[in-house]
Amino acid sequence: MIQLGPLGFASPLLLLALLALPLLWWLLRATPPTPIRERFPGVVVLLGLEPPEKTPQHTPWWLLLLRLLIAALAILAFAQPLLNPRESLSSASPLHLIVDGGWASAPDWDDRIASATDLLDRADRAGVSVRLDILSQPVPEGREAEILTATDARARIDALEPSPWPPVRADLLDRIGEEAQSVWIHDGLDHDGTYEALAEALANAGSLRLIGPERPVRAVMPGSPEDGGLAADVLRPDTIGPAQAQVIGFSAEESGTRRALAVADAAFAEGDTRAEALFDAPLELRNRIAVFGIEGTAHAGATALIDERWRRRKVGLVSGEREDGGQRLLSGAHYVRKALEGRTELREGTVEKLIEEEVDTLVLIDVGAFPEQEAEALLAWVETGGVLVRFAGPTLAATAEERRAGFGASDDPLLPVRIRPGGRDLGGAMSWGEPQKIASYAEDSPFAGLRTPEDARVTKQILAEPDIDLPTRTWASLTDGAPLVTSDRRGDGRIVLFHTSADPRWSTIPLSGLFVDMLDRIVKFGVGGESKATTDESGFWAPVSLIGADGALRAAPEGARTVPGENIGAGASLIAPPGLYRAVGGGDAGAIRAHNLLRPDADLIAAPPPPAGAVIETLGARKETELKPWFLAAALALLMLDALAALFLAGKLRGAVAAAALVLSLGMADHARASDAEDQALRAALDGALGYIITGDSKTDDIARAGLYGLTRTLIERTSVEPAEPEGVNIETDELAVYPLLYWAVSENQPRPSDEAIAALNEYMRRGGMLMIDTRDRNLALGSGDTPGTRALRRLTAGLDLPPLSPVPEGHVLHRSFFLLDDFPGRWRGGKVWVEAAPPEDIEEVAREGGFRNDGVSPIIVGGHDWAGAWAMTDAGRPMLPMAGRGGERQREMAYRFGINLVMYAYTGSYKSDQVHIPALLQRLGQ
Amino acid sequence: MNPSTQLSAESSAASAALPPLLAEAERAAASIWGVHGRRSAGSGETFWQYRHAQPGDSLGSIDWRRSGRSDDLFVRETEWETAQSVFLWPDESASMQFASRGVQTTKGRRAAVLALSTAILLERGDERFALMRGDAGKVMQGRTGVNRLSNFLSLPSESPAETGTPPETSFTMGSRALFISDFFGDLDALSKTLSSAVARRVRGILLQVVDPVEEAFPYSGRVLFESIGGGLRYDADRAESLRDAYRDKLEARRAALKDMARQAGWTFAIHRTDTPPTPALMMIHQTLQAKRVSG
Repeated sequence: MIQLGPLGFASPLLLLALLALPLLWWLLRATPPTPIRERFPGVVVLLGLEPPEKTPQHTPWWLLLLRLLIAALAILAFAQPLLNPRESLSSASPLHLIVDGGWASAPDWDDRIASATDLLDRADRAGVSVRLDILSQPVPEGREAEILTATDARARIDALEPSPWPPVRADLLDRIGEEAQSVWIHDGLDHDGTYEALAEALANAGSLRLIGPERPVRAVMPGSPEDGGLAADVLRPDTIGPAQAQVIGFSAEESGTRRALAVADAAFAEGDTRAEALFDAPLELRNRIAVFGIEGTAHAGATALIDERWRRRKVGLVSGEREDGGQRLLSGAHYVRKALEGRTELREGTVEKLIEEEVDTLVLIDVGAFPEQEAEALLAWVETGGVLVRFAGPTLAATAEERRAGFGASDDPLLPVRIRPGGRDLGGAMSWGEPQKIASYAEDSPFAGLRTPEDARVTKQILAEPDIDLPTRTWASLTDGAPLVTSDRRGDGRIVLFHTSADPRWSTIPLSGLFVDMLDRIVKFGVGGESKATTDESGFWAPVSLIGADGALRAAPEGARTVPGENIGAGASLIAPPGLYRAVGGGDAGAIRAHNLLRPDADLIAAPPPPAGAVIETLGARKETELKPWFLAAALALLMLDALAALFLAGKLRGAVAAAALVLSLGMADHARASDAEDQALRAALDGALGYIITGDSKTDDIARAGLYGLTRTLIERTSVEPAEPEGVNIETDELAVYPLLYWAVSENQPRPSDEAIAALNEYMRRGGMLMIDTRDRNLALGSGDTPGTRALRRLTAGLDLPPLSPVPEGHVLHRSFFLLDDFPGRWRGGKVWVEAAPPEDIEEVAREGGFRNDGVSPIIVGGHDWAGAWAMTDAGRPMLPMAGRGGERQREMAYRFGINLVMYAYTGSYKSDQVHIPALLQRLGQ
Repeated sequence: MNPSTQLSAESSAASAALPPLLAEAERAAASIWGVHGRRSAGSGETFWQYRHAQPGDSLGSIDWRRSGRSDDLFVRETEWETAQSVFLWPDESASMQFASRGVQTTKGRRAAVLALSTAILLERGDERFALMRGDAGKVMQGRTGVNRLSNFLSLPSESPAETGTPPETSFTMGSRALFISDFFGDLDALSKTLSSAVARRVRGILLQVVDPVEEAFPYSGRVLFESIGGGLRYDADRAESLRDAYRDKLEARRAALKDMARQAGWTFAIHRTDTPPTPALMMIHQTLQAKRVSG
């Protein structure tokens, strides 16, 4: 093996043959070119002619050069040239293979495995034993520094998957043993600050080769929940140059799929390691963002979760104060407004309207009594998880007094405690007491840990009736023990009462920063139940869903281990993989918390320069490439050129020209074919042709084509839809978006579409296309049994992103988009036809789930009635197939009517169902 | 295959080839028209003219019936009708079976067409012709003769020689001859035939048929020249350098032929296959028509 730069030769001795090239030159020169043979009667005349010069005609120099080049290439090829040849492993010491295997290894995992496998192959050949350390995996007790055979190590590497947490390198430092040739396939990041030490130690224990990625990974982190806007930070370990990144905000659907809701750009300036992407989205959309992802990458680091803390609350504000002649500074609503502005979405209005708007928190300032209906609505709202915050005031105090004086003396269910009539005045002219300071906050209250300002005094307040429950309901109390803020649960929600007013007349609290913090905490405390966020991280947390190394969020497996609270939010590790966790037990039971890969204050730190003597390799870049085939191919190509040249010299190039023309014309034909497909798409787009998916089974395809042809004819005859001739669609290559309806006759022997085709179909359905799947077996495939049709359907539609399906409900638009139809017969009838399950009845629920998909139009229709068979028509307009069953031609007519309804449905969507509302709209307009 | 079926196969192949050759010859002959008869008194059967008897006319030659109607004596003369034989030799040797690229017809075919059209013209003048070939030495006459000739010409002679020399023939006294060939053969043999013809007071034409490339010699580079039969080869390393020498030698050969013809009182002409056959045919016709040159 000799090496010249990146080029090496495995059989260098053969290169000596290059020395023979000059000899070849001489030989080639001496040999005249082959004569042209000509038949010529005049040869009789020529005989006896002495030629004037007898020097043979020389081969032209360029032909000589060409031939020498061919010879040289052949010699080089047989010398087995290798690009980037691998150094062979020495057999003196064992191979110590270190694999990071953490989250940052996931993007180029295949390259890493290939690299490791390659190393182990060479170790196998060199006959050295292997010590394998996978830094992201726990080391079983007693198996530290285990020596494996190369084959065993390969088996382990083959089974290895990247982990969604960083590798732990510190442990290995203690375990570096005897001399070894170390190879460390690292991820280019210094996760725990031990990179340098480890590299140093490995280099000292023998030789070290570092195989790192070409570009280090980036990661995303949610911005601080405390800030008003929704933002995500993109981190990068390098600081070189300005760079761009795009962060996508996804919703996390129940089904595990993600939907991109918003996109924000992050721009790194030179020297930045962190760039912020600020989302500017409407509140409803914004609150549905649950996952951040970096565009174009998929790994655990490029996925960040946010929980309830990032949710921006909708707060309603109702003021019961009397208008005080425009003295804003005396209005409690003004202070509440100022405190909540910018941090929440503040709405004002009547109680009824605000409940309708689905506020999370409702602030009532000095509202005493409610009409009975409103009180019931309010209570119902609280019980479903609303937080009602009430401020005391003259009206509230008066109401409490009245209620007390009245009969029954029943408790107001909209107050957490019973109010003692009268209240108290402190520090006034007529009182003895001093204005009171705030003393303490209850440990389990959201105020825990808040700073108490010295100058916040309460001069007037209403008092709670002493009660055995009072202490547990108190969140904050004054220095003399009188409760200042009390709270109680009502169903899933909570009622909070400030015993003083929201304006500065009763206390100075509204003037202090404390007021803002208190309101903020209460609002963040959020609705109860599952989505409750907490600030408390003690206790144990059980994973709800976990982020995989590929960045996908999956439901946590049964029996996943719970995690001690201190790990949550402190960066992912083996014991606490990133994901969503739910508090188990404790006061915050049920609270959901996002646990992200990186600590909020973490940075990505690039690996420091390696120690002297370490060999650096870029992952995937230095792959050994055997160049022999390329050299031989080049020689062969030149040889063909030489043949052409020889033909040219011999004056026989006419045939060759013809051949070249043939090759060219073949190329043109290919081009023509490509533009054919374009034409087809263009036609379909301009005239709206129906499409059927080519199954590859010519009989099925013929029937599908004839069926759509028949349907097209019927459409033209009876409706104003005039589609062009139906087109066969190859889902692997064709553009699908131009077809309003794609008919797919499922056949058993149809090959499964490629992943790209499935993705194209998904995209087609997502973008408003309509796919009709026909099993053509009278719904046998859609039943519960395991029939060939069932298997075919499952096999073909695996991977299709199907919405939940239900049989076409009564009153579905398909029943009346053109004709009024009771069922949807094809050649068969009586089976069920499935469409996307109807959205929830409740329009508000729909809105909560992000609106109708496709405006409520089902992107898919599944049935087994063999519609194309019923529609199928010859060019002469005669039916091709007999109807099955007893339906006869009447049923065929109904099949055509269904076809027309179907096309109308594909074109007009839910237009017909909107028509239902027209009388009502007209009536309203008339008024 | 038994001999009779072989024969019939050959004859059908021959008859397939026959009409085109004959048609082509007819077409060429059709363009020569109006040159007709000998217009002179001679021994024949057709009445030509009455003339006054002159001293020396035998008594028997006087037409008494004509003379009885006047005072003078008249002699009845008949037209000179002694049919002349024309010996045709279209060269069928291998070197004649050649047409260069872009030329429609081979030299041999052109020679056959010229010979046949000459025969057709001769037949119009009631003259006789003979094909100079070993198997067809008999004098032919009339339409049957033309058909027979066309049959002979359509069946090329077997195993042709590389180059052609006129076969040994016993010419009729005072007859004519037409030799169509490229004359790439042995000139001495030709000269011998010519002198034997002269001895029999035979006049004629040497028509050299050449292909354009044989005059132009458009070759260059290293060329291996092969004769049509494949028997002769010439390896030229640089063909272009030979061009002038070749042309000179061709001219010398033509000069020799011309000289030979002049000495024998024959005519020498050159015909190229890329030109139409009519001019050559015209020349042949006129030359053969010409009053016999004294001597």
